[in-house]
Amino acid sequence: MADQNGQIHNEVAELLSAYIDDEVSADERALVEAHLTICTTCAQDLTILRRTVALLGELPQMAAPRPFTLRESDVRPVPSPARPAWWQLPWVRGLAAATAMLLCVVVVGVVLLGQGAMVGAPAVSERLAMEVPATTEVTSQEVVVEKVVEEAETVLEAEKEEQEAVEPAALPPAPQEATAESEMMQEAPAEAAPAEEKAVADEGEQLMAAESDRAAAGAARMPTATPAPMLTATPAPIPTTTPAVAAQAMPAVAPTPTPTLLEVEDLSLEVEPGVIRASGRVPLPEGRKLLVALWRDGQPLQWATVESRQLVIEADGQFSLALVAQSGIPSFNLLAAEPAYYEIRIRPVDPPAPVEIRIYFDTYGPPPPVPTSTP
Amino acid sequence: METGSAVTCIELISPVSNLVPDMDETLAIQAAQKGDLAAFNRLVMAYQGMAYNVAYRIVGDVDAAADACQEAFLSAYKSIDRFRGGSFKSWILRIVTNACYDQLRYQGRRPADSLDAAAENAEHSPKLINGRERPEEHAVRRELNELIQKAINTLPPDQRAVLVLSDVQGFAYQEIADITGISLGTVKSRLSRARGKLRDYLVEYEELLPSQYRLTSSG
Repeated sequence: MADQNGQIHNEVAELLSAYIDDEVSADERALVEAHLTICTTCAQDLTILRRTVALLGELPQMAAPRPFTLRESDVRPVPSPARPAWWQLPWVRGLAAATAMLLCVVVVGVVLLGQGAMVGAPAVSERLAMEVPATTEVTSQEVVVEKVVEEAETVLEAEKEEQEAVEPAALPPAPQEATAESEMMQEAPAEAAPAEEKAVADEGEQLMAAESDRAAAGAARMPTATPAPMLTATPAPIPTTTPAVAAQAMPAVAPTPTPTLLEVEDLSLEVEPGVIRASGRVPLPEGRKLLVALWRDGQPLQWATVESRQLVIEADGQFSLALVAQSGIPSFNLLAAEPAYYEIRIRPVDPPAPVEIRIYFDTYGPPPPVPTSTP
Repeated sequence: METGSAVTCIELISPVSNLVPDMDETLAIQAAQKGDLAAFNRLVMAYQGMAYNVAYRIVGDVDAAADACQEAFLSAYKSIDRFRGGSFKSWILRIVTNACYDQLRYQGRRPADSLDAAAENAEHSPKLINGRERPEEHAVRRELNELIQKAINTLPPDQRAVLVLSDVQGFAYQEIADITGISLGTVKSRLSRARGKLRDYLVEYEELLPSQYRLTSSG
């Protein structure tokens, strides 16, 4: 009898956790509840277990220390150093194979000649020097071009073409110029003329504007590290008055997006404690009513009051809005709150349309300076 | 402001999450499967908060959690073409929990770099989201947070994951089974063992808990 009670006690002890969550069968429930009436130990365990679970539920949510959005350079296959892209060129591989064979022949010759090695070695160097210069020269240039193109591909396609067109002329002093140029392209892509492809390519870049450590890592991969001009990660044409904020209109053109994201022209964005001001022009007819929402890290944060959350488009698609925190809402003090990505999402509600405007910015602060090594 | 027109002033009040529809996840997934990184990043932004919180509780370390999340989202991007519908949240959290196991294995190989040390270092203490707390409330919650995290850190990784998903993040048993790839029965038994160990730990160190959170006090 005692054994049977002990067995039931153990069984019930094992069921208490599921019992709390109402994840037991009717039979199990009956067993637990009957046992609880006679076993003070299990009854007490249940109480403490419930408190434990409640405590876990009280744990606060943490702010992510950084965004985890990916950039083109994160996902693009990086050519292996041992097999860079130029290696794929047939003539390069042929020349390399020939050089390797020549080297083997020479090494064998040196070994066979014994004492003659001391005489043969300079000859080898000379012959290799005659054979190889074209290869090594092209190699270093190709590597630079490859790196630059790799960086440039994350920017506007048109820019890339221009880059490739310009690159041959820039080749002689290639390392320095290419490095600086690629950094400029990476850091200040918004200076180019607006284009849809650019918006898509730049999204990751702009979202990650504050993450210049990766940009620095990219720069460090360059063949030579030349002191580059300090460039801000904040897109230049956006008149943001708060240096800690990188802002960009989000005119992304995804393959099949609904709603379609509209591009904001002449975007102006100011973020101050307790207030966000934005203005610009959107391709929407005058008089159209819009709904405004503020998102943080991909989640809806705070909404306007029902009465005033609508924005009316003025002449030529002009809009101006100010998101103002009610007093006593410290979490809206973006500059004091935890760093995060914010979006102002604006969409037509009267009449409704499957389009949306998204203005992205973050409060991760200004990027650290790009580390440079002394030449 | 650039124009002379009146600026629309909008007061922000409490969240009303049903006013604007969620991001169209399905379309974003489809676009991401075609290689659209921007679409994938929208998914990242939607899930990174949850992913980070799951990771932080499982690995118990700010940096390791961030690394796990970064690895997980990169891995998710590379394998998103293998996502065949169902719950994207479960799919992404499965990748996150696996990345956490990798991080724990990596930490296990690192000598003399304990999770406790990080938890005790004020500079490493996690940043709490709630900005409305008074300083004294914040201090109490931080104490509680650190003790509970230490308790979680004593659990084996598989029990940690189930406990965090259930009791910290509030997932249902079936969702946990989907995320972790184990049976419902295993979810129950692992959760039972994890809760039991946690209870025993917190009772043992009860004097370290802020008084209002002590488990064995009456009331």
